[in-house]
Formats: sequence, C-alpha cells, structure tokens
Amino acid sequence: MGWRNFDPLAADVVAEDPNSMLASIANTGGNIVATFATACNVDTEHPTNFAVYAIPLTNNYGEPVNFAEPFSLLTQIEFISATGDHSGNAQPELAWGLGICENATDIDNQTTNKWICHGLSQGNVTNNQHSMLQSKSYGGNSSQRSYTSNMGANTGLCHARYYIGPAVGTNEDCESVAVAGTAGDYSGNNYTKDTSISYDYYDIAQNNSVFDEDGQVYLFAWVGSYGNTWDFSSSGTAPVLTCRLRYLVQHDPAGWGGTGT
Amino acid sequence: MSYSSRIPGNIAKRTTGRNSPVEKGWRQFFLSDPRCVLQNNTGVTVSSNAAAPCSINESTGNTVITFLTGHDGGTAFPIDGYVAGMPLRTDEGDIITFGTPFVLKTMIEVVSMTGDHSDQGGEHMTQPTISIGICMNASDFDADDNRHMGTGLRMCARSSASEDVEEDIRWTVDSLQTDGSGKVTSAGNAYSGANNSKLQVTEFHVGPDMATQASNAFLMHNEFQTSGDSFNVPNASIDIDGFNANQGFDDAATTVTLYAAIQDMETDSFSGNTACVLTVRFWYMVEADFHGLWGGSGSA
Repeated sequence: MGWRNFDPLAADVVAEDPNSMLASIANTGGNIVATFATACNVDTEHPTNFAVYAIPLTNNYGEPVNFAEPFSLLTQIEFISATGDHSGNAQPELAWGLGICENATDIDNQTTNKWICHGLSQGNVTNNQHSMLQSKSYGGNSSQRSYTSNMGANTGLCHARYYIGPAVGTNEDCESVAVAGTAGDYSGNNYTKDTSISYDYYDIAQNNSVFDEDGQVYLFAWVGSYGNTWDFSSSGTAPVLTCRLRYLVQHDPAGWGGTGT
Repeated sequence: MSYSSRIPGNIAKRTTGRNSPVEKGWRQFFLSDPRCVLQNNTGVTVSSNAAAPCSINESTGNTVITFLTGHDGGTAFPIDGYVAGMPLRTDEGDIITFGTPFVLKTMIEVVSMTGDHSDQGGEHMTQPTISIGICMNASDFDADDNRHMGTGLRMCARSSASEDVEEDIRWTVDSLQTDGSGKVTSAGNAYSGANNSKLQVTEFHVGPDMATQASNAFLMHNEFQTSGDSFNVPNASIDIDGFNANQGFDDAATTVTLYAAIQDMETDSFSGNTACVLTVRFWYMVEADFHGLWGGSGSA
C-alpha cells in the first residue's frame, strides 16, 4: 500500500539504453545508483532516448492498470547525491524521472509509442538547483520536451500528478492527458516548495499524440543526460547519480462508468 | 498419527488482517451517508429563515436533488448551500490528513434535470450549481476561512427552451479568495467551457509543503460527454488551477474532509415555480501512504 519504490532491476523490468548513456545501474536498499558511461557521442534532450526501465503498472492488489480504466498516479523524484564530473561543458547533465507509456519495448520509437513523463535535471549543481524536465509524444511520430529554468536552491524533491483519460485509447481525444509537477526541499526542511514555479504543467493537445491503445499502462523510469556529449577516457570521471523514484497509484479495474443515465 | 491442539501457536504473519472491507476504485459519494456531517442551516434564505436550497433523496442509488419552488436569492458559491462532508479515508478506512501523500480523483456525472430551471438570463428560476472537493473545516463548511478546493458544474439549461441538462453547462472551481477571506468561484465560458458535457473529472494535488507562498495545492479538471458518446471532449483543454498560501492547506495534522455541495445560485427571488429536480452521481477514488507519509529525506 502507499508509495512503491521503482526498482530498475525488478524481474518484470524491460530495459534499454539506445544511446549507451549508462555503464551500470544498481539498487542499493531502495536507492538507485546510476553510473554514467565513460563516453557518449549522442546529444539528445528527450528522456525516451535515455536509459529506460519499464514495468507494467499495477494497482495495490496486483491487478494490471489499463488505459481504458480510470487511475490516479502520483510520482516522487528524489535527488540524493552525485559524484564525478557533470553539468559542465562536455559533461553529462544528470536527468532522471518517471513517466507512462504504451509500449514496454522500443520506448524511443516515436511512431509506435506514446508517452508523457516528468522529472528533474541538474543543470546547476550549486545548492542542488534543478530544473523540471518533461517529455511527450507529439504529432504522431515525433516528440517534444519542455524544460524549466533553474529553480531556487534545494529543489531535489519533485512531485508529479498525472491526468489521464477517459478520452484515450479507443476513445482517443486530445485534452485528456497532462502532467503537473512541483519541486522543493526535503523532509528535514519542511518540504519548502520552490516558488519560482507555481506548478510545471504539460499536456498533450493533438489527437495523434494521445495514448491510442486501451491495454496495459507501462510505468518507465529514465536516467540519462539532458543534452551534451562527453568522453572521460583520457581525463575526468564519469558521474554517479544516486536517486529514489517512487509512485502511488489508485485504479478501478471495473472501468470509468459514466453512462449519464 | 496427527492430532489437533487448542494451545495457541505463534502468529505467522506480521499483521492480523484488515479491520474493514477494502473499498478500491471508484466509490460513490452519498450526501446521506451516515458518516457525513451536513450543513443544513445555511444557504439560500427563505424569507428571514435560513434553509437549505433543496432536499436530497438517494434511495435509488442516484443523488436526486429537489430544489425549493421559491426563495429570496442564493449565492454563486456551492459551499454556501446544501453541503455534506466526511473524513477522506484510504481503501482500508484509514483517515487521511493534509500531511499524508494521497491521490484523489473525482467525477461528477450529470443524469437529468426537470422542472423549472434556467440560466442567469432573468427568468427567475432555479439555477443549480454543484461541486465536489476537499476542505479543512469538518462541519462549518461555509465559514469564510474554511480553506477548500473544489470543482463542479453549473447548470444553465433553460426549461423554457426545453434544453437538456448538458446544454450550456459550465465548469466551476471553488476556493477562498486570494487573500484568504471569503469565497470565490470561477466559471468556464458558458458556450465553450463545458457545453454539452455530462461528466467532470478532476485530479487533486496537495502538499507536501504546508507553508508555501505559491500553490501547495492545485487541481486539474476537464469535462467529457458520456461513455456512450466515447467520452468526447466537446470544447476546451484541461484547466489547471493553483492556490496560494492563503487559499491552500496549512496544517498537516488536520483531517481532509471530502465534501459535496449543492446550491441554487439564482440571485433573484421567486416563488410558485415547479420544483427543479436534478439527478447526478458523485464519485471519487483515493489512495494514500498512511503509514510511510511523504518520506523524501534526501539521504541514502
């Protein structure tokens, strides 16, 4: 019940790293420890092009959550630490988060997959300043991303609320998919919210970008670099990111109802 | 040879079971639920006497609202009217506070409307407005300092034109005013905001900061046609509304009260009308981390 930790090494995870951004990933007592690759020659700002780990989203009772059914999803993205060289020129800009999508495999296929996701990026390491990063399927075979400006100090805890349906899948219609996020400080500082951004809202406004399948919802974690290429083979140290990704979900497998009669 | 023993053994599991049946998925909100506190001493005034603007019958499984045939004028705020509220609980009956991380989705389903009803065009007939939301005050719902956030639907169909209940329907969002004193209800455009919709679906977000200066609470809502009409979105984009430090919630220990509210917002007095009867259903689904709370220490 309640929060569940996302485990990128769980038995039902489907993982891919199409641009080889990570050297390894580990789960240490619920903390995700991602070690970046020594080098990466692909500069991309889209989380679906990062290392991704997808699981079938289930409710608290183990039942699968489908797009044809109502569900409510809250995610929590937590920065813990980062070592190595990052966030400078020719260094990875650490980015990580969660999202939902239609396909567990080939997540970065912009023609066959639909998604929306939200997380953090650490563009400025001073005082743990972060930006919120979002991405979505767009135009039927493309993607879009949005990136807030650097928020204030101590913004390592990020929450995202998803609005999905009922006009998705067979009933696909735009204006039924959105995510809104906030960020702030940790529990020890009373979760003080960053006020430079009231909320970070991102929606899908094109029919051909909306989830168009009624079946299984996949929850995916993403870890990578927001832009930049790097090569530490002769100098520098590949960064290691430690973070936690959690989610809270409610769902009705009986469907939406809503006959209006 | 086996035998049984009456000597108690060790407890095999860490818990001893649930203390109440699980209520997963959609739950229907009934204003007549015995767990509800009712606000029935405020609302539309009839002569000099305070009275609720309507009566409620939920014996059929629907919320059937029969409005008064006359009154001296109401307000635009649903929470001034007939309001029922109860503690928000998890699937397993645990009470949720504002310091608890929770997900909450609501759905208002409009079924039908009969009798005399109209819009603000001066016909002096009932104009129903209904909402569902959460608040801090568990009983004095219409208090001017009751922090609340709710969404609803305002009926604008005219019986004089034989209009169906979804005709020109408008969405509403309710909260305290930005200075924290008194109420405010914003409404979508009469002809593009929610017109021809019978469903309103809302996601609520609260916390974890209880002292922020900007939007520790927000909601997202949109309006849809019914399942038989493929949940079409007739008009507008999802609307998101954030609430500032004077409007949002400021006490983690306070129980979240889930409320439904009904009001006749016709501001002019009238009498002798045929009672407007509005049939709706209120739904909600909720889950929380009752024991672990938000976490988020930022340390390994």
